Amino acid sequence: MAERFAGGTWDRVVGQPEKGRIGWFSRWREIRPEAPAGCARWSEGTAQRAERPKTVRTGIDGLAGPFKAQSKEGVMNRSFDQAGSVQTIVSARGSGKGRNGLPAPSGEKAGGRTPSGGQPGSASGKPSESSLGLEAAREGLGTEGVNWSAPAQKREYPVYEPGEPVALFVPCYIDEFYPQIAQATAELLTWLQVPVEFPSRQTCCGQPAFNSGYWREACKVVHYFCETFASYRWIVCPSGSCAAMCRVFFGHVDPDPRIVEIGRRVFELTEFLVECMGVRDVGARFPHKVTLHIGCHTRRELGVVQPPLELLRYVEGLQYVELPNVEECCGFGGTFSVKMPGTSIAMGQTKVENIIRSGAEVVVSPDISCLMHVGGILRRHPQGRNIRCMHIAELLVAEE
Amino acid sequence: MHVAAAESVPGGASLSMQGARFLRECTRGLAEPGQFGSLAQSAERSSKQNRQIIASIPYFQSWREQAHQIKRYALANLDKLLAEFERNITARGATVLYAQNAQEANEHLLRIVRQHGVRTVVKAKSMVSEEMEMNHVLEAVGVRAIETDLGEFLVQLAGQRPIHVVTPALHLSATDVGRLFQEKLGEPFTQEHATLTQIARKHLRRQFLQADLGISGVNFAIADTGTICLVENEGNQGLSTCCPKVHVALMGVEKVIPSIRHLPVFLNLLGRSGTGQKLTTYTHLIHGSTPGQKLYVIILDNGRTEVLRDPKAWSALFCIRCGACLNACPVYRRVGGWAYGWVYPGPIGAILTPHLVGLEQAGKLPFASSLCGACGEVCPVKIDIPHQLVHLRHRAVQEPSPVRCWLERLVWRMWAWAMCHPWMYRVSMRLARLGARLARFLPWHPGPLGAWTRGRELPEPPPGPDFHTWWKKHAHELKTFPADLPPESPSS
Ligand code: SF4
Repeated sequence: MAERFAGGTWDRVVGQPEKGRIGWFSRWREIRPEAPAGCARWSEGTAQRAERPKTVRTGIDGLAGPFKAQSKEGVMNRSFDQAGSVQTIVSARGSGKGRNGLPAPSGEKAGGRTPSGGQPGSASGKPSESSLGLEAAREGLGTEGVNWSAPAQKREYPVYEPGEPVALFVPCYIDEFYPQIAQATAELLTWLQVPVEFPSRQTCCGQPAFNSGYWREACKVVHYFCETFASYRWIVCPSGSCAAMCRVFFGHVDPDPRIVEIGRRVFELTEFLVECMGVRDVGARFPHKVTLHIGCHTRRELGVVQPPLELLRYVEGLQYVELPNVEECCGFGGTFSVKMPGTSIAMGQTKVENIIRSGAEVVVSPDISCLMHVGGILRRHPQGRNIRCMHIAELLVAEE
Repeated sequence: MHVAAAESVPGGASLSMQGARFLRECTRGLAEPGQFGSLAQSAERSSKQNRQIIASIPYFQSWREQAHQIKRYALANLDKLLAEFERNITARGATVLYAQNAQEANEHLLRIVRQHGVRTVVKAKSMVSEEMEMNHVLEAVGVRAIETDLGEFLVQLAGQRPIHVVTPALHLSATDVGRLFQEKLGEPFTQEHATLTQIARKHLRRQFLQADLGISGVNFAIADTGTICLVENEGNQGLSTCCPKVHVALMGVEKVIPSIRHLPVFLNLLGRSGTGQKLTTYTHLIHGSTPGQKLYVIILDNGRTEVLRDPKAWSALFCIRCGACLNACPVYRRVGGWAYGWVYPGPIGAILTPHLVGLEQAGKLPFASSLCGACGEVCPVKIDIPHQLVHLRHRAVQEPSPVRCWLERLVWRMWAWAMCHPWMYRVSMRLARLGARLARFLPWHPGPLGAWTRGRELPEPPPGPDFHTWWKKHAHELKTFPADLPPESPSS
């Protein structure tokens, strides 16, 4: 018994399972080679299948207690008192003092360019596989890190060099229903000395069909998108969910590395301004009480939480009020809003109540699609009728 | 074995896997929010608590990654690990039985029941037993199965189905429970938690001592030591597994983990994600049968190994049934667990049920999400639930399922065609704008339009031109910031 606990059996190579007893597994054995390949997703890395490991080393240290994690940048030791909460780690960037009712993160100097390398102390360290005895497994299965992690995980961004041309991608509904947002985006970028170009062939990113399950149809549109934008290094889009479609989901529709690569060049406006350009203060003035709603794709797929806050921090006269339950979905969800209308509206109503509770005069968001839904409910709400919905680009160029 | 016919009453006591219609009818509730008393608040509270816990532990994300990798390894080596688990636990007197589907598992169970002359069964919480619809099967042969988990006990009394994987009676308030006890057990009405617990305890304690067979689930089956790990808070699993002479543990094939060295990380995650505890009150490690008692382990496949065929979807099997994704899901909080039609509610149900029951029946489930990603963010084993949902949607519109519809496909085909031709794009967007303008004057709104305007105003298209046109006219008028000042500080 004692040896069993010492992990003796684990090291032994286990032979073939007895046939007959669990015979139907043989069926599965044949298909196993493919099984592990695509498990991890949003890390777009292609998994390679190598030989299955014969033996696996064990030996675990530090599963509990201060955790010793090995990351690419080196070894980091973290314990409770060093790190505080995840929230404080990840927000430890940006300006020195609190402004506009936004909390003051400590760390870098105000308004400076964010070094794209950054500190290794992001919310999630890579685990120490060596201590788990799973490195052989990883090798065998060719895994990439899985990225469903804390919402505000720090990502690495390329640095925009002044003068590089930027293509503006205007999603279809903004083009037709909210052209003022696209105008504001173009104005803002030009004002910041970015040479903006607008390929007039552009149409859509394919997200509606993708989210409805029609990937073959979406694929055609994705290819068209890539043809249109192939010659641009920087593509900026004033909508987070469309940027997420390009950056995260192009690989699902067509794993062709060229397609994936073009998808990765797409940035949401606020993250482009703050993370790639290093701009925080755009000289805007907006003397109102403002609250911020970040769409779920922007928040969780792109991990964009800080950039819009950073931009709002430097708007003159702006008073920021926190939205209660800020991370909850507003219920739009594309076709979800008309396929499951009751549930969608119920979710939107909760959001609207929270907006009213926050006391804001203006709701601002990097995603106008959410605000199309929330605004539609607000306009029917007796107390919400006078609350304005605005895209963050509109706010940044507003002259009020 | 034939199982009782389905009742499609939401929350009705019986449902049948064999019933072809049940999911189609049950999942109608997904589109509309239901009234479940305290469900929404309780789930939201747990979710907030969970978020705080995650934020307060700096290495929580590393734990998640570790757990994910362990499960990944375990599932890729399932055949080896199961054989190892079997060998090690059989060496200490247990009997391991494999079942390919629920029916086989039930047959195994009935054989055990017959062999030991069982009359009453005490049952601790087990999701697999729900999959097997074990209570009905036992009832059919005249054996009484008593749920001993407090929540399960309550929903059994109320003749309902569990609404949540961890807290089955989340929708019942203390008042509801008091009334239920008054009605079903003849106890005087009370709302006090302590008294209510005493009543339940009084009724259940007797059952433990009388029962001939105890049934439990398995939280983790540890291969290298041949150990079953059970976690619980009420003590009922301890009693169910120890008091009766025979103990049957039910587990799905995916419950196996390689080594007891890997257990701590799962215990850390499960307690925190499930109920917000550092560790559950009891953690049982069962290494084999006690002398004088019998231990059977029934290992159920029931479609799980089929999931491994789909490389995009197999991480759905990593699930440790903590329920964190349910609490986090805004859709689940509105529609409740019964709307998902089968054993597993919430986001995990939406990705697991279509695999286990088939897309023909459960094809609608993956559409019951706004793809907000809250589930993927909290899942302690890092299952990429939101991405799996879109993957399943893709499969649901291609394979036979209730959502496959040639008309819809045609519409998307046309859409794709229009989106690949700039002039056609212009025309269709113009039409959309015109439609939005005119819709306000329509007496009634058909289809999706009506669904939108039920609780929302339509967006108002602006009077000006669209952006393409505007750009052609005004692009050259855009102003650049004077070049002699650095762009970082234009306001100073
Ligand atoms: S899918 Fe993840 S969060 Fe949901 S019950 Fe399973 S382990 Fe928990």
